[in-house]
Amino acid sequence: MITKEDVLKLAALSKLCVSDEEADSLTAQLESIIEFAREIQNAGFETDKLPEITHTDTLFRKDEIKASIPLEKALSNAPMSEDGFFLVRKWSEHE
Amino acid sequence: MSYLLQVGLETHLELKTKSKIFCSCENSFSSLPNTHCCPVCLGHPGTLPTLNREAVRLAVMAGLALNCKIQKNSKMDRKNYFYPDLPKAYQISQFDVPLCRDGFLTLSSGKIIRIERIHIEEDAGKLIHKDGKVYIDYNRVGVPLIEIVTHPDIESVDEAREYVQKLQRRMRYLGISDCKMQEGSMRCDVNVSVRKEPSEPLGTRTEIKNMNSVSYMTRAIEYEYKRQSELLEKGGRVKRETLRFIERDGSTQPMRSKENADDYRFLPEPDLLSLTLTDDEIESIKAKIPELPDEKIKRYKECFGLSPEDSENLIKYPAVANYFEKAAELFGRPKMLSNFICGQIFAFLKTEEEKENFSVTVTPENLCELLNLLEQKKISNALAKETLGKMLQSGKSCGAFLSEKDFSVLDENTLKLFCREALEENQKALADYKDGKEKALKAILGAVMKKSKGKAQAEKALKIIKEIIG
Repeated sequence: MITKEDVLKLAALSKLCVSDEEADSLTAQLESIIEFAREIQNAGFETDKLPEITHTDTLFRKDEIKASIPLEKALSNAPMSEDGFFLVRKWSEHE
Repeated sequence: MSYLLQVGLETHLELKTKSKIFCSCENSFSSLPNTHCCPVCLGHPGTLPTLNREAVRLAVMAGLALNCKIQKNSKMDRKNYFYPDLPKAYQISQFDVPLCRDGFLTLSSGKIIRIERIHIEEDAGKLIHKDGKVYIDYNRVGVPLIEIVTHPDIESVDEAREYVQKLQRRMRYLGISDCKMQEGSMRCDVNVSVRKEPSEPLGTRTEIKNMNSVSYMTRAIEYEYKRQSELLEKGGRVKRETLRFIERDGSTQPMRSKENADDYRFLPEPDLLSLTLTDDEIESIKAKIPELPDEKIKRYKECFGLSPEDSENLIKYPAVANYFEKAAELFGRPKMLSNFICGQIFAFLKTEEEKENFSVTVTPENLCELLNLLEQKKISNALAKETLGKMLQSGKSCGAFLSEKDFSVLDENTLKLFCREALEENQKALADYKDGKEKALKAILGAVMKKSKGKAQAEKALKIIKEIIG
């Protein structure tokens, strides 16, 4: 059961501004999404018959350097950049 | 009422791999900003991390060197937090099943500091706050880290200092990290709490983040100890919070509240499979662990008869220990070697960094050549020191500064003359010797040494004196 407090806490953790009205509406929406997902419990699987996924070998990568992307490309999606740095505005909470 | 201090340390070490932990960008310090970046470490949608085998290998080495159990099956998790140093908005770390657990490090007092866990994770980017703006460099994102977490077993500032220094030395010997606190390749988070009695449960702890020097760390612990004790004494309550150390006045200040322990919403990393190691892999890593500092100190005592103090100086940096060991194979007086290395050569190397690299131009062979002359009494101690100084400056061997005329071998006739004179001038000692006092010869020998300005070889002189006496 999703409560309004859950929604407000998630919003705070995600740094999202959610008004009181929005919180009510989001609570109802999230609850209906989870309700929908719950359908799977009625699907009639016998869980012990599900194929077991096992990986005996980890997929490692060799420690080799490959070229990085050019600086302009790295910064091309940034809303703001300066002197090769990504730039963000200072935010109120210092941390 | 005095309080008991309880400290736990979380130490982050950057691992010395060639490439980053989840992508093939170069892992190197101080280059132009955002030039070691790719879609994976910049967190672009649709990219997939792949785990660097070498990062895992180095982390297992650290675990073995700290007496940990290596978990053959572990996994990676996402640690969610919202901060611009991580472009993905989560850090890939290990939560409930770390790579290594249940280790320990022993302090010189014999006290054991238990290590709860060591896990691998990716480093975050670097933020530079300037003119009301925040500049971000993502080169460091994805640099492999290990985090070494102790139990709160540390009970004094001195223990905290020794733990960090021992850990740093041990990891340097493994060669897995530069361990430079001033450059950020080693950083400590310090958890501090106080309580009145050992029987009481642990007090509420505060965490001081990102200590980048041992002296700041000890000052921060002292400050927190005092602050918490005074707060409790006044009937107050310690708040669980994250603090930063203010270098200017040695105080601590709150960073962010940590009342919600589940803030990070850890979840298993769906983009990576579980991390599996075989016994063979772990054994082959174990076989590559070099001799560690404490073992060296023990061996130096047993094989070379060196004091713990001498050994400590020699083993502080692996390069110095290597140099000493090479020289000790060529020259049979380890104590003399140790004195010249830690005395003359250290004095020539001005900074700790120069000592750490120990790239002196005088090879162990050259040093031993010089010390052999001293050992054979061909040159005096003062001349040996002076010559070594010139050798360090120039990189030349001692042959460039010493010639036959410097070698104080007295000719037989002069030595005989000195012996005769010494006997004549020391009649009492002569009489004592004839009365059976063997020790009286020392006074006569001393006189010979004085006359020859230390150039006489003692054994030879004694032989001549006895011959004259008959």
